[in-house]
Amino acid sequence: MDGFLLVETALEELPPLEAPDSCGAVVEFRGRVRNHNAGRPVRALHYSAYPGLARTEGTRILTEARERFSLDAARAAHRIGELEIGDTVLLVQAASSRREESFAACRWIVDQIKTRVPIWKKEHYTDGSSAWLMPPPGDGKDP
Amino acid sequence: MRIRVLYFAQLQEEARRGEESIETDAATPRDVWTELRARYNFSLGTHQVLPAVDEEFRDWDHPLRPGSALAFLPLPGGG
Repeated sequence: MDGFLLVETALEELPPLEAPDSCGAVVEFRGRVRNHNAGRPVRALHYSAYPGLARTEGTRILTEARERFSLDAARAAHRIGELEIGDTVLLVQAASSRREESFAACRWIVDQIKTRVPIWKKEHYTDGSSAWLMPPPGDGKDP
Repeated sequence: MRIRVLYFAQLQEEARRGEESIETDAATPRDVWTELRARYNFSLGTHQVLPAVDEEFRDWDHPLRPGSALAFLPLPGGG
């Protein structure tokens, strides 16, 4: 399976990335829900999206990645809905014949998704409060 | 003309709705935003919001047409 997915279930349930035999390096990024942000203890996260445009823009990013890098396969999947600490929220996989290309493509795709795909997260803190997160200056530098 | 307006994330909470149909003389997303920001007291400014028309990112001065679906999107914060 190739392409960009918005997923409401655990990303661990996705089938493996299919890559041709010419592929020698698959680089995978898994973004996880962490238990803290900006010094505040986090209890859970809620992710919402503009589904139609998120799929369009995510697919566009993967198409651009194939033009910029020599990829054999690429896939990205983003969770939406309620997530708990430790859940995988973003999965990006880039496959090519050599590792330099796969590492560079994977990183580029992650950075692009975080700044371009209309997905938002609301943090729920252990003290019962919550807040929508806006990208910080120099966004895309977060894990 | 009548258009559909969609709200997301904190804008959805502040407007207390995900979408609505409005009658407006506004010609662009900027004009609609000015109207609705005053109505709902949105906490974000135009530098923190991206407009989309019919599921495509557009600039603030993109011409609207009757029946357009105009979405106001806070800057993405996923991942």
